[in-house]
Amino acid sequence: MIGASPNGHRPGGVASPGVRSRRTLVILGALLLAVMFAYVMLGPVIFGPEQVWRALVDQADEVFHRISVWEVRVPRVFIAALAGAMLASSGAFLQSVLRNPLAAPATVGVTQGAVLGAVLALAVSFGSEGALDDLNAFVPMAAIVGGLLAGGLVFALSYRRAGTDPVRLILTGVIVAAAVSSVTSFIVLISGSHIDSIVRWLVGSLGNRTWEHLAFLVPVAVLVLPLVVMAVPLANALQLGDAPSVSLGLRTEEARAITLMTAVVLAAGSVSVVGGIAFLGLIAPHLARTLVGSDLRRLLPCSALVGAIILVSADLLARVFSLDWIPFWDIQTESGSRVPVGAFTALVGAPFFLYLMRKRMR
Amino acid sequence: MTEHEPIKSSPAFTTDEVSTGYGSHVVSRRLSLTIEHGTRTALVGPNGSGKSTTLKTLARLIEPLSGAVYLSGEDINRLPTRQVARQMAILPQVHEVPAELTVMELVEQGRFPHVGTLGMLRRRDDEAIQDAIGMTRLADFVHRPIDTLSGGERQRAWMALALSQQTDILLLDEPTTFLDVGHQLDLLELITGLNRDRGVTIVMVLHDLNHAARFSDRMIAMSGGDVVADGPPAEVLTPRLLRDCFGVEASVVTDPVTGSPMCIPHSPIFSDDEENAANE
Repeated sequence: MIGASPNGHRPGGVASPGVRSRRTLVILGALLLAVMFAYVMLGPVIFGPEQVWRALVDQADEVFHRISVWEVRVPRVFIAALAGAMLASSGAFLQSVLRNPLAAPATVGVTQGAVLGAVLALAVSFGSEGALDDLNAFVPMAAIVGGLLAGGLVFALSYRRAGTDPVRLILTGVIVAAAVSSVTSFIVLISGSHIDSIVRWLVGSLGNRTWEHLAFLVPVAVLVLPLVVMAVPLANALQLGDAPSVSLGLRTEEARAITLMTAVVLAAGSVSVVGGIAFLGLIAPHLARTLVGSDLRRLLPCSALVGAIILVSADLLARVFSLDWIPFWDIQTESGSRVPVGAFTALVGAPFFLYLMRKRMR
Repeated sequence: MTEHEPIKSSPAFTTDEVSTGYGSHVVSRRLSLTIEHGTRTALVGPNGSGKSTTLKTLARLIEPLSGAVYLSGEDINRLPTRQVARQMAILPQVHEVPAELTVMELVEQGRFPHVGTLGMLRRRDDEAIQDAIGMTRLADFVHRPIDTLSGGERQRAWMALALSQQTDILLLDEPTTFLDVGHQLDLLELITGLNRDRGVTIVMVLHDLNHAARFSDRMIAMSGGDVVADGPPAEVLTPRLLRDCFGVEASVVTDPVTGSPMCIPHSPIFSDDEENAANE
């Protein structure tokens, strides 16, 4: 039963969970690359691998190949992967630190706050000369501010005397989320003909996302990365409970603030570019947990990979199933949008979540 | 047991006029206690007597309302909490276990106060983890999720977490509560061994008075937030204490095998108030 593990002095079976999860992570990484490649090849026009390659190295057979691959699909697939990874990582942190399987960016109000920020920015500019559209970098900026404000508000409102606790945080989050959503609804009601672009923010969409958005998302991800690395051991201890955390020498309030801030920045950054994608932040960490367990040293990278795979695949489906080739099923709207990816994650996510619940609560 | 020997000249704990409680609710007032290194102390008392609150105050889980707790001569609430965690481990009463977390993943976290920000484990950490797993006989369970273990195994896993911290002081809050008698004795023997073989200072809250008498060398009985008896078990565990403090008529005999005092409770004594309340 005692087998030598790579570092030599730790007992364990032939494939200890550490080794097994490393293998899982490698497989997931390969899977992500595969769906990303499929994403670039598939669409209204299907490209073969060598056509993709020629488009990438600027030797495309036709100009529109290069535009299709380089200007549309490549930036969009990277945005999908990064945004999915960030949203799922945020959910993994929240579920661990709040010790609640239902915790997710959308249950603590961060998603709603970021969506409100984006929608406000769009609504304020409506009717004026320089009406904003999704392409303007001002919208993601307003969204990230909205998400951070909502997260900060939840933390501040749940703070009492010596600190806060997971249950109070979640309840405050649910209340703030509801309040923020109602403000958004009001804006939707008065937005008249611009309702289409607002709804795509509510549901979450990757339509019209391009290099500009990626250029916004990447710095957010890079800046938050050290915070993520620092938060992992803190969140690992916090998930054992407050008293064990104190025993281990954690300043629990500070640790909770750091880990929650990390989760809020991750989620707000993601939502600021793709909108309020449903269920992903909730489901991806659950799925990852069944693969590698609850230790965040493995759960976090696994959640990120699973989140990226899900969002890339979902958007691939959304593009393929936009079904605009059926004559009477023309979902394409004036602004050229198709079925938003958020509609797919919600459609597929809800039954999948029910399945997970049934399986886990046997 | 640790790399740094603490200053043994100062007692493990000194409390100076400590009042404890939650917010405006004061549980105990002006408590002054001294607990020496290398001893086994059992805190006993009826429900609501303040024994658990006192332990939590020693553990810095709650801050005293007034007064100060000194750990090896230094104010515990002013020391960096990580430094405290290298001297003292706590086995809290209630555990929530995250689903899917394995025994090894739990026990590894005991090294948190010893490692850097990134939490990388070195050889010394691995040795401490192996030692803790060996002592708690969990080698066959290391890769099992904790929520699939029995109550006894689960408590041993939490005990292993505390042990992998490699501290000189161990605080335990009702460690035997949800265990059957076999696992209770097993855990108490393990605690005794730590004290005897490694000189670990033990402070524990125990509900079972006979276990407290047998597995400690000092019993502190509390009632209404005050210490009502303090000394060797043979002096503390008396029919009088059981009557005044716990409200039961009892006889105290000597355990024929271990020689420690043992109480046999007979019947509860209702105070006048409770009788009046019952009659109404």
